[in-house]
Amino acid sequence: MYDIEKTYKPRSISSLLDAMEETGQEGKIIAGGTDVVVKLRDGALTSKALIDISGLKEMQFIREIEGKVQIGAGTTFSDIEEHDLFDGRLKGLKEGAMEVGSPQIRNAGTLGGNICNASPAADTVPPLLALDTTVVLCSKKGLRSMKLEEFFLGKGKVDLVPGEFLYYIEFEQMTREQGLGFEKLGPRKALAISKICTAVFIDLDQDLMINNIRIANGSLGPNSLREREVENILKGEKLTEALKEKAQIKFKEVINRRLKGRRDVDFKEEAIRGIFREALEKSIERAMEKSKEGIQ
Amino acid sequence: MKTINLKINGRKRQIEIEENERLLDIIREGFHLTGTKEGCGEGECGACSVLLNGKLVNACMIMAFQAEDSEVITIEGLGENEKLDPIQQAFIDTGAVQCGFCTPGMVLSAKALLMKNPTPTKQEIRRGISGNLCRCTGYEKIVEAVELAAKRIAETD
Amino acid sequence: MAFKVIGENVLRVDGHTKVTGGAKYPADLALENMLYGKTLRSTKAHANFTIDTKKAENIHGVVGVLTAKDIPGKNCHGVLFKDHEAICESRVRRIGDPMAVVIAESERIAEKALESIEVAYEELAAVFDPEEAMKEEAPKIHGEDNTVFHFKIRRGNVDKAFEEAAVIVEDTYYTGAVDHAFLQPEAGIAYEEEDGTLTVIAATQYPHFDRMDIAGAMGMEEEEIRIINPAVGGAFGGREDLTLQIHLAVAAKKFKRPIKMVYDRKESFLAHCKRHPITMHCKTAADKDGKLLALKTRIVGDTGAYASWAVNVLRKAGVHITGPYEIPNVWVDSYAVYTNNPFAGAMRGFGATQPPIAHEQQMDRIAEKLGMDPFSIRRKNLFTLGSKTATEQVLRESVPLGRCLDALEAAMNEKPLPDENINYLEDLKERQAKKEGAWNEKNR
Repeated sequence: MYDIEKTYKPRSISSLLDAMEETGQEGKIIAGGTDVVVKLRDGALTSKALIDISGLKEMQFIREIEGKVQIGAGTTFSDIEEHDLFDGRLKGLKEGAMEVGSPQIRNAGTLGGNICNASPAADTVPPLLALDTTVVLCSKKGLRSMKLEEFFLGKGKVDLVPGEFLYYIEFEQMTREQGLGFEKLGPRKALAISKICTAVFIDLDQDLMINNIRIANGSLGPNSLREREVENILKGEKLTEALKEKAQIKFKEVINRRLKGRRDVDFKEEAIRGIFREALEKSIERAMEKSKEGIQ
Repeated sequence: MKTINLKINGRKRQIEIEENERLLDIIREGFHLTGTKEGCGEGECGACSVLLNGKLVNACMIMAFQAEDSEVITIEGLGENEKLDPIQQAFIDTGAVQCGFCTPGMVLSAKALLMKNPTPTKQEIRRGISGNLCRCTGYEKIVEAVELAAKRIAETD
Repeated sequence: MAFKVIGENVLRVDGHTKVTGGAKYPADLALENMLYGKTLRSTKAHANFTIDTKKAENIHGVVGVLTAKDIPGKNCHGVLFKDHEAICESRVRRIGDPMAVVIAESERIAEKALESIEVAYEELAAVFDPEEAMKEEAPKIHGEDNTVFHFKIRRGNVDKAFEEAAVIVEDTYYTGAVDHAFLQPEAGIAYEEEDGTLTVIAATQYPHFDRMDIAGAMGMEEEEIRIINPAVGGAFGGREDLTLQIHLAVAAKKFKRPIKMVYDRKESFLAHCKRHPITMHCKTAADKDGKLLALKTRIVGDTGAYASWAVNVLRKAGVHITGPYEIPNVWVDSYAVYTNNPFAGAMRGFGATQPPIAHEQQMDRIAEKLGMDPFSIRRKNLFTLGSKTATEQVLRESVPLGRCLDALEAAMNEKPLPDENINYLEDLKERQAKKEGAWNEKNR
């Protein structure tokens, strides 16, 4: 049974850092609470102090700076869902955010929480991986950044050192001929933990040459992960029906190898073909959309 | 123990809370507003839905101390004086209420939806109430009730 | 004003209190000077145990810990057979069996104190498959035989019919356990009144059954027990067996203070019954025109550790296994069997819900074998007015199955509905529009 002795509600990043220093190992950051409170009640978390960042405006932003999109860790899924930055080529991220839990959970839960919770089934993580996202971490020593992919250290584990928190994430804004697609397979429409979620980023020129492609999956490993074997089949090739099918077959192979011995392998190796195809088609469609500035 | 200030159903209140308490606990036991229900304690059923700073949330997954200086609206805060909110009236009129345990949360989800989107489609209504479980009705009558409420609100405006 | 109810929408009398949050479910009630109870439950499916509550009793704020020896009357309850112990004395038969109840000044203290109760289990061989449980050498759950009930139908001569059949389809169908997941977890309050009457307020489906079992467990007369049923947050059969009622009653009498207990969702799942998982082996025969000739079936229902309504449920499953079809030759063996699984009882349909999984698939497969379409084969065999069921019941009143099938076919094939259905819908729309007009009038 959980036993919280102290609570903090910092109003600035510097007081957040003070609270983290004061509580040390006993302290746990709480934002939307949709994971932390459940874990506390389950006994999966035994923290003695909670530090609430849900009121910290400094961590709630969506902005574009010098060709980069930056999203504060305290941004909620609803904030992403409602922001028009994610209506065009970047819609794959919004689709991921919209798949999270329920309206109540999307209003409370944050992007930072989804990342730091390091669940293999986090819906927003595959799109972020496909965007080659960088995480920016903050501590009293200053800022530190790394690729999101390297930030994950296994199920439930991320590379945060004591006194450090996830401040914001950033990725390159999309240019003309790029698109992000997302698809999820869950047992029902709401409040369902993903069986598979897949995101595809594609950079496609007018002759249908795939200049670049990044594919990421959730629920198919200890963390969400990039699928480089499949990417390699597609990268630098001309997009044809035959190539898509070849990639689908490769994907099935990869999943079969990874999940061998698990009960759900038959189901997932088959399902991935369809889910990947849906995400791929969406990314292609968005890459081929013409917009005035090339950026939307 | 800790004292926090918050506005609940339009009234400024001060309340002593324990660090372990959730927002749901202080609503039900501190303020005796028992219309907010606990059905699962982990955000699956939505029976504890309240509006926190205008946003629909599950009160079972927010710690009480997090609600400091916030504004909370529970089912008891809906409607004006003796007059029901049109959503509440529509739930009665369409027969969207059976055992009633999901009803307060369901009404608040509908409220949050109609505040943002006054003319939702059936699909949008279903998405709007997707965080609330009802085990009695099969949802048909609830969706009808929200449609009816939206229609009545539009007509009386 | 004419009194008209049929065909009209009737407003619920409790609608207003429910939409305003005013309706009181048991967890919403509070009394002065109240104590709280929490239940310690078995983590083993089948075991003998000893329990030491001393440490828990010494915790500040704990007023006492109830065990089996605190039950003043008979330590048993059950809707048909009294096979539940209110608090298990020395043996548990499933995960979730109640072993002790901590009574404390706060819910939190009670919950924490559960961790201080020391239990020593001596595990017993357990059985989880009802087919295994029916074998002689199987571990016994209660008494000498795990078979609670055997229902038989013997009609006509099935063996002869199978010989003459043009087509036979034979297979086994299985349905899993299902929880009602009524939205309001079990909760209640009990207190002793000045005249000694023991009042128990709990969401229940059978106040009178509750009273009977509480009186038995308390060693009191039924007249001395009062059951109040407040607003009930769904039940669907899941509140027919007792859960916390006796615990509340015993504690209120013993500690002379009001007692409140509220289960969380997890405990709710552990505490109440499930829908019976049923295995149905069916052999069905038809002639070359698709007319059903015979059904031979063996049905095994897993009632888990307690019988609850197993007899009624497996009887009903046995009656309904023919589906709504006329079959001249029928052989049914339907069994209810104890295992160490979660116990099964009433849930919506009461044994009528599971059989369609079997009989409708049998129908489709016979149709497929004969090259018939699924609607025709059903129409050929459907119960109509005057039909005799396998139990020789003559259907003398409304049997509108044909109409139902028509509507279904129309919907599936996107054909227009038969006229009578259209008229009904039009009529309904008209009446609703009228009501709307009246409402707008009133609220303008």
